[in-house]
Order: sequence, then C-alpha cells, then structure tokens
Amino acid sequence: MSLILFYALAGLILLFALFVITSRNIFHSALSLVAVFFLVAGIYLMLNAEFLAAVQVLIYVGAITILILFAIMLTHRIYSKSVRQTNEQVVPAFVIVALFLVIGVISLQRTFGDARPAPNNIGSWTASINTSDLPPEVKNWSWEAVIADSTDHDYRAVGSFSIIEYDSDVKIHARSAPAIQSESGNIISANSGFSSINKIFMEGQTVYLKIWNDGVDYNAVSEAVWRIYPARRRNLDDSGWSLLKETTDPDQISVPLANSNTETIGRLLMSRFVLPFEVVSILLLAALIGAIVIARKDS
Amino acid sequence: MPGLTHYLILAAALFALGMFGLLTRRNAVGVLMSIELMFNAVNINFVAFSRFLTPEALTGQIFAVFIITIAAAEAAVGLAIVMLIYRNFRGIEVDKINFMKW
Repeated sequence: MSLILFYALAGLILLFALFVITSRNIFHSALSLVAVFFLVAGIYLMLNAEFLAAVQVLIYVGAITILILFAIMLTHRIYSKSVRQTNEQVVPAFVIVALFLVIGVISLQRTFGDARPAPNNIGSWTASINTSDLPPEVKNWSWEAVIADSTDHDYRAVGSFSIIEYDSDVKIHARSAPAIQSESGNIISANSGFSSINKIFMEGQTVYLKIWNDGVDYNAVSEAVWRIYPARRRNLDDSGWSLLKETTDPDQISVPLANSNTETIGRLLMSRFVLPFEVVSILLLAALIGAIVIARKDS
Repeated sequence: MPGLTHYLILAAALFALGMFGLLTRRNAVGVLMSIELMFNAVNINFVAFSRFLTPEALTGQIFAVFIITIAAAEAAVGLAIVMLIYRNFRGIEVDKINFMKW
C-alpha cells in the first residue's frame, strides 16, 4: 500500500519536475514547481518527518514560490513565444545528466541495496551494565529482554556481546545486529551497544542494551524485563544475572515518534546544534539585507 | 514498504532533472527554479538517511532544516540579482550576460 503511494508520489514529482525544466512558459514552470514542493512534503510525511513537511509547505510553497512569481511578474515579456528558452547545450547536458544518473543509481544500488527499513520505533527500552561489574572470567554474554503487552503475549528479544581485555591497539569491530524473531511471530529488532552496532566492549566500558518494537501496538507495555547470563548457559529461567540497571525513567520508555518529532528537532536545535542554528540565522539576515541592497534602485 | 534505495533513486532522478534544467535553461529564473529542485533532491536524501540509518538521532532532518534556510536565502539573493540584471540589460537570458567573460 505504502509502496503504491510512494510510486504515485515519485511519478508525479518527476513528471512535474520535467515540466518545470521543459515548459516554454516560465509561469507554468513556477506553478508546477509548487506541485513538486507539495509532493515532496508528502514524501517527508512518508518518512515520518512531519515537521519538515510543514516547513516545506510554509517556506517553499509559501515563501520561495511567491518570490519566484514576483520575479517573473516584474521581469515581463521574458517568456513570449519568440524568446528561445533553451541554450545550445541540450545534447551535452543530456549526456552528462544521463551519465550522472546511471553511475549514481548503480552505486546507490551497490551501497545501499540491502539496507533494511528501520523499525517504526513506537516504543523502546534500554538497560545498561558496566562490564567491570560482571565476573571477569566470563567473556561472552547473552542477554534477553521480555516485554508483555495487554493481551498477555510475551515478546522476547535476545542478543549477545563480548568483552575483551583493555588494549589500546585493539580495533573495536562494528557489526550490525540482526533482527530477531520473537516467539509470537512479531519481529523485535534487537541491538546491543551504545551506537547500536558495537557488539564488542572493552573492560570497564558500560554496555547499553536496547530493544524497540516494530510498530505493533505496545501501548499497554510499560517495562521490559532484562536478563543477562553467560553465553554457554542458555535457557536458564532462574539464574539469570540481575546486575542490569533498568531505566524506568518515563522519558526513556516508549515515547511515540509521531508526537515527538517536532519536539525532538526543537530540542536538538537548541542544544546540540545551537551554534549552526545561530550561524544560519545570521546568514539568513545577511542574505535578506543583501537582497534589499542589490535590488534597490540607485538614486 | 519502500526501501532506502527507492528514496535515493527518486532523489537522484530529481537531482538529475534539476541539473539538466540548470545546464539548458536560458532564463535566469528558470535556472534558479532548477536549483530549487536540486535542493529538494538533497533534502529527500537527508531525510531518507535519517529515517533509515539513524532513526532516533534526527540529525538528517536538522540538516534538511538548515538546507531549507539556505535555499530561502539563495532564492532571495538570486532573485534580487535577477531583478538588477533585468534593469540593466532588459533581459535575463543567462547566455547574453557575458560582460564578465574575457
């Protein structure tokens, strides 16, 4: 279903974009540019970026298109039938663009052809443990997390990690953890590690374990039960290691992404990206003043 | 459900169309519109990577916001330049504006 929607959006985007660059009437080009911007906002919605979709409509459709239409209206008679709209470089430009497209699509397929969609991330649970708290003689550990929803189904995610002795020359390998089939048939993606890809840890490091669901209704689920045990001893119900520190902080448990997208972007802009934010603000101000200065008539 | 490559190929095609318009349009406003198409293609890439590779960090979306800002600034300055050129040359065909060519 969403694939059909995507193909419809993509086809319309490319159709209108083709019209933007080929239309003889520059006014019609600007109108189909509006359509392209709207449809790209739809693509953002499909990618769970509601805030960007709103910003796209506000700034592109609302502001930039108006600017372009004003420029077209103020420079009249630039699109009459007698004025040629393309230059003499159509053939070389077509060759260059076709080459770019072929090479680009091939390299994209090779690089990202096997990328899986990330889980919808409606709920996530984390737990952490410091490796120095574990008995040093055991190097390979397994962990499992069990979450139960309102229908008394248990969903289980399991994973493993290894601890290596501290050695500054050792390169930490990064491997992606596979999605793990839970007992009831729903997929719980499970990753261990802070960056979600490390599975090997140095002594003394803190191991962060994380699971998230795939968008099934887990609203009734409040907490996950974590267990960690040496890798050889599987399926031990009672002797699971209990050193894991669960996070029961409500902020870290199950915030629906649909509600937090705008809030998260706002928090990031005001915390981690506050300097780029300020720089871009000043740049925008300078650009607007510059535009006024350029466009002013000399007295 | 469309995968990452779907979005990337859409973005590549949109970028290619924008590049074609940028190279062939004689009208300066048309050139600016082609650049806007390319900005949109880059934004789709950023948001798709943000969704598929780092679903929690949202860094790609932040960068898309910055790119939209830059696009707005570019449109304002570019169209102001177009107005100035129109006043001085009575036309905005970019291949006629060659007074800086040696």
